[in-house]
Amino acid sequence: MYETSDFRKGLRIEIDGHPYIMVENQFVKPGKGQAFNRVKIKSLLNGNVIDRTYKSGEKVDKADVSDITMQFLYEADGSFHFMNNKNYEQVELNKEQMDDAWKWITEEMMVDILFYKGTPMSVTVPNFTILEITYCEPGIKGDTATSAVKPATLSTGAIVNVPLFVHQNEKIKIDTRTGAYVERAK
Amino acid sequence: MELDSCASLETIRKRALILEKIRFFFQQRHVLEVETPSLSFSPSLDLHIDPFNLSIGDKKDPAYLVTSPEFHMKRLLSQGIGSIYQICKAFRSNEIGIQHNPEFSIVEWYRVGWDHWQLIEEVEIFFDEVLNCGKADRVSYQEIFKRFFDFNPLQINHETFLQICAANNLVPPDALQDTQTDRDSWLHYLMGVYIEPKLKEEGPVVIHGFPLSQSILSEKKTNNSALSTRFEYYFQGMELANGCSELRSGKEQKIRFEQVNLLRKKENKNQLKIDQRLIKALDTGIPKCAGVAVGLDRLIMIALGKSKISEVLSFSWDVC
Repeated sequence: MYETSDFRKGLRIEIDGHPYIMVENQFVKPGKGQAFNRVKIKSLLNGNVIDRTYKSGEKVDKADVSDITMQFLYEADGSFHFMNNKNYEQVELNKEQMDDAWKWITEEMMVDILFYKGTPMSVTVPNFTILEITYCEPGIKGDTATSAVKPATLSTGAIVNVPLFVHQNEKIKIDTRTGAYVERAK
Repeated sequence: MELDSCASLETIRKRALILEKIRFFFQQRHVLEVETPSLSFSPSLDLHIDPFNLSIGDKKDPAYLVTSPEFHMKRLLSQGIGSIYQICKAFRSNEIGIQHNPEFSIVEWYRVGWDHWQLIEEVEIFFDEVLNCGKADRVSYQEIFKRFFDFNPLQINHETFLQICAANNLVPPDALQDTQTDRDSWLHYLMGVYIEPKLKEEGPVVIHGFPLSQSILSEKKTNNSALSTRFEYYFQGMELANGCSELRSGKEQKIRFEQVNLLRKKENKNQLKIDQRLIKALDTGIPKCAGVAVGLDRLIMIALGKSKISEVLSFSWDVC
């Protein structure tokens, strides 16, 4: 069981036999009154987001979910294939289940796959990834001072904003949590 | 390096300017600045406020960090000190959120000879000087419930509570769906979850005449014993100040504290020691006065356009 004081973004809870992940947790306390936690929770099964309010001190069940580290093998026809290097078990996720992860994933990348009662549900990629730019407008030499950006297409097909001095075919580091350019990779 | 979630140096400098402005406000009005202890053996006694306790040397009883400077300041008032103010830290455990830090700053002041209406005037001027927000809209606690839900909050019961929730798409916590829930828990829920967020869309608002059951330290409203003189100042959906005409009877105060301890027992909370020195001070005689506490960090949040309390604290709870 979790108590309201354990509530935080990313917590996985179960309500009426349904697993949810907490996407927002707001502590509310009117005047000298009773404290509440207003939360937004997202279903791990269908992605629906609902609002709930708990009285401070209330308890909720933990969801029967686990994270397993697996290696990305390949993508075929919109299916992403992964393997557990410990027991060679393979699973696949569709593009919808991948959410934004398809933008950042590269072959052999180690990722965390979320299982609910044994079924793969979603994937979490490392916070940073390095990808090659397959297309962008030519770079402007020496322009490292301005904050202007241009779009760049990556090897995965994702498009991100990069500074003007970055060139096509260069590799760049990206923060996968925000999708933001971090720096040029050596 | 990832940045700690704390105020920028620019914010810290601006915060200092606001503090200067506040001190100047009271200096001009001849209100004396005082300092009172952060540690006490008798904490404030409230159903929903939990103090931090700590052991001091070989003392058998725990000491507490004050949850507000109110008791000590009232003891000074009973000695005839006159109008006073204080800028200090207060501590409340289990209060962590984007508008709550367990250690926070309060500006608290008492006006001798005044009632809460006179103090509301001054509170409005205070906020206008710091935030340039103009005069507040004044509305009674009963009116605000009438405005949003069209019912009298003093008559709330299990059935009306569930009806209001259903009509406004609110799913109350299981703990509030019980018929045995006390009336104030229902009202706190509607206030905190529905009304407060709606106040974001308005200018400053003063809500006055809270139920007496939510006003442990306040004088009764003379014409209606179920209501108190307690008021709250809201701006941008945040509670910024809480004040009242102060209760002056030690005997009555003791009865109210005992009632709070009974309610704490019902909620499986620890019993807190009644501050006999405060009771004695009230019995000895405290002048007619009105007092108010302002949440300084929240005031600074609004003044500087910050959305999280951690953005105005040098080091917030998670990095202290």
